[in-house]
Amino acid sequence: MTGALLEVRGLERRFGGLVAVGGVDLAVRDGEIRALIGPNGAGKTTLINLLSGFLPPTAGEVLWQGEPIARWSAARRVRAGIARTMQVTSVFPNLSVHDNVWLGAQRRLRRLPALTDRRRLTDVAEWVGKCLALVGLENRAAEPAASIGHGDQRLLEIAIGLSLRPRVLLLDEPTAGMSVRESGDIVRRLKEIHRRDGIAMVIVEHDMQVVMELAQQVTVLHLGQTLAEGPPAEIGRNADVQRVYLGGR
Amino acid sequence: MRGRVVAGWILVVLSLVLLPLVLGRYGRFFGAEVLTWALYAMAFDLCFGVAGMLSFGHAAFFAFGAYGATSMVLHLARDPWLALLAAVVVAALLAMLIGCFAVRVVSHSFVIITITFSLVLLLLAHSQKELTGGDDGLTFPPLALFGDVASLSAPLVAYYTALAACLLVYAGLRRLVASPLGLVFQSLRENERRAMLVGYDVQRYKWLAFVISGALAGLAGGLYAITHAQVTAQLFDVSVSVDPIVWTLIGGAGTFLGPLVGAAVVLVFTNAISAYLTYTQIPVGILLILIVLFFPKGLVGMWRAWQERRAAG
Amino acid sequence: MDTGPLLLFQVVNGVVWGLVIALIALGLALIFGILEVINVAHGSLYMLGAVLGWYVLETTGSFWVALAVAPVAVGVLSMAIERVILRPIENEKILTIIATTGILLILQHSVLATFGGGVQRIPSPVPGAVSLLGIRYPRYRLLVAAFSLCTIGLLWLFLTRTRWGLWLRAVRQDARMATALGIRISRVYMLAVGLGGFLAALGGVLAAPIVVIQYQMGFDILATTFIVVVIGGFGSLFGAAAVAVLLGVLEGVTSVFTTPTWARIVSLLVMSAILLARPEGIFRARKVMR
Repeated sequence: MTGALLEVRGLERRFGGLVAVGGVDLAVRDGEIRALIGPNGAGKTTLINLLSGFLPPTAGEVLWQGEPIARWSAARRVRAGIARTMQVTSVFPNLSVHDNVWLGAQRRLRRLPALTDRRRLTDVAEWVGKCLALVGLENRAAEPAASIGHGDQRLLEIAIGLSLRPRVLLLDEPTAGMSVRESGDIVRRLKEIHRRDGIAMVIVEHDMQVVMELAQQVTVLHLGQTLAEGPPAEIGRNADVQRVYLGGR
Repeated sequence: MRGRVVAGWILVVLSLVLLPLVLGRYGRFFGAEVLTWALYAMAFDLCFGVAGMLSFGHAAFFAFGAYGATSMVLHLARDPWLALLAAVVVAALLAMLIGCFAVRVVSHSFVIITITFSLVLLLLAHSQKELTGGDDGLTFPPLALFGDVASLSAPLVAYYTALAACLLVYAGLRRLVASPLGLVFQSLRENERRAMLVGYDVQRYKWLAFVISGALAGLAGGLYAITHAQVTAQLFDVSVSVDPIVWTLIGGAGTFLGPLVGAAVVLVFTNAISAYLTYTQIPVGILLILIVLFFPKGLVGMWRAWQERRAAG
Repeated sequence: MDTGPLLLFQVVNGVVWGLVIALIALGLALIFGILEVINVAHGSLYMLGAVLGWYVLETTGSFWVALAVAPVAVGVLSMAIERVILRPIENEKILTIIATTGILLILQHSVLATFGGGVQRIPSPVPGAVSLLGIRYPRYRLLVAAFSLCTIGLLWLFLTRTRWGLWLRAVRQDARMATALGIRISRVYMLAVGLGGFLAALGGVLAAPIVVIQYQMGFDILATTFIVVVIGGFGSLFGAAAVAVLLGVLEGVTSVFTTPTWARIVSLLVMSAILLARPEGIFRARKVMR
């Protein structure tokens, strides 16, 4: 599959006798929004962990713009342009919202100065402001991350991801634990981000409405294998998928 | 508001500068001691309060700095500036070495590794008496700054030297924390995994923080050496590693001012009660426990939190 | 002695001392494995056992009474410490380290204030030596080894065969799940710390006739027991015991060829190397959470 931005071939991850991911092929194109769905234990988070470098595969390849990266550390993949959010929100609790995003934004500096006050680096500050505005947190910039609500923390995580100017954003259940209104808000923002910057996204989701609204392509995982793949409407009609996951007849 | 802060600072610095004029000879020397240990505590705070690594072996850096300065004086040049330079270099080298190993492991293993290396050095220091002088240590005739003008054995000179060093290091550390690099160090404390996910090579930055911290601890050791003109193997003791932990907790971790205040409070406190109570570490231990249970942010931390609440509401 | 018998002597010494360390390390492993508290004061509990044992010996004249009383007293003290100091902060790793540091200061200097800074020696309660594989070996030390082994065995039985032991193991596996099953976590924590202190003090009383009793004796074994626990595998109790014995033998053998100080240094460095090579420990592949 040429032209794919992020691709896996025959990807496998075993834990002893358990095959969490068994021979999955997946190709995400530049700018594509791909949803990853499936019942619990299907291997979705494991796949994200494999893509982001948290886990090495036990077999198969991970390719970034055609180059094999299975040996790359997570930090290296981030630097290459693969950002992710975690299933359980992971931010810097005692740092301000602004500083949280700053850590991502300042990565574009070639060297990290040790004796320059951050407040003097205005272009980084500008970019932080933009990222915060994209997720609607610009008014809460000075608050410590631990004190903002759960939904806002997930938005913060997305902002941190964005500040890295990634080519692809891996989102692990971005709407988990959110109210309907908050979910809608995130979906709107992700759509806007995608429209503006064309960032590819791989979204693990349980909320089918989110999937239907956002995704261009859907991959359904079941017991570590790809069950089905296609546009959301098609997947919604797929009998196997309905049986296994959507609660069909 | 900013004006008030600056005015406050000027007041504090001014009082510290004028303080020795009202103290007697002993008071001045004690003041120099406190400032030297405060510098050590600030160095420790970079490692612990800022970067989140609890080192139980910082005595090694302090002692190496002290002995580095002493070696310079005894063997190469009777110059206090070179002695301080030697102190920093020697301590930094040690920190680079230990750091290579220490930063690879999880937090509780980090504690254990730092205790272990420090213990090994302690054993060596006491056994290699020809090198270190053991408990009697090594001495040298007191040095003087600026040629022969200001003898460091004079309490006033010692005090102002220590004060200058403290203020410089404090300013430098505050700058560091406000810088991009400083923010990365803080991210290590906050959420190492997230720091990695933002693309930072976590081990490299941990190592860097550890080395800077060790180097500054060595500077404090060098300062100790040139103001005392004597060093002993006891500088490697576990208690010297435990002290900055106590001071930082009492004063408030991560603030640099906290460890300075903590060191001052504890040292003055133990000095004051030592007239009545021989075993001053017992109240210190009790104080530590009380702080942990009721004031985990320490004195400065609480003061800052109180200030923030006032500003907010 | 020539090298052959000397080596054998030191190997047996190493096993004996290793078993004593194993006892103390088991105590530490219990506390760490169940509460995730790094008990910096553990060495002081060992020291307290030896010192209290000495006091009981002085008053009653019987080492065996001391052996019975001192560890129990320290165990009770440990339970009190858990209840009052550790309970409120049990989830804060760093704070617990600091709190136990405070306890270390208090214990050590209280002993300094009462017992003094000097050393005391206890005569061997079981004098004499036996012939063992061609060397003469002190009876008491063999007794210590046997006693330690028995205690470890009893501990194993306790953990695997009794209700409380089951609860301890359940809480170690998954504290929240254990609560959901109705186990009283607070009681289990208190038991773990009490047992931990008891074992440390027991090691102290047993060691007292072998080493010298002084208020800083805790430091000698602190680093060793920590490393042993971690290398043995984070709360894997019997892994810790095995590593302790191996370590004792290593140190014993090394001291034949060099000074005791260097033997210690070598053993510390070897253990650090192992710790660095296998941060998860040798015996348990329990995942280290970063």
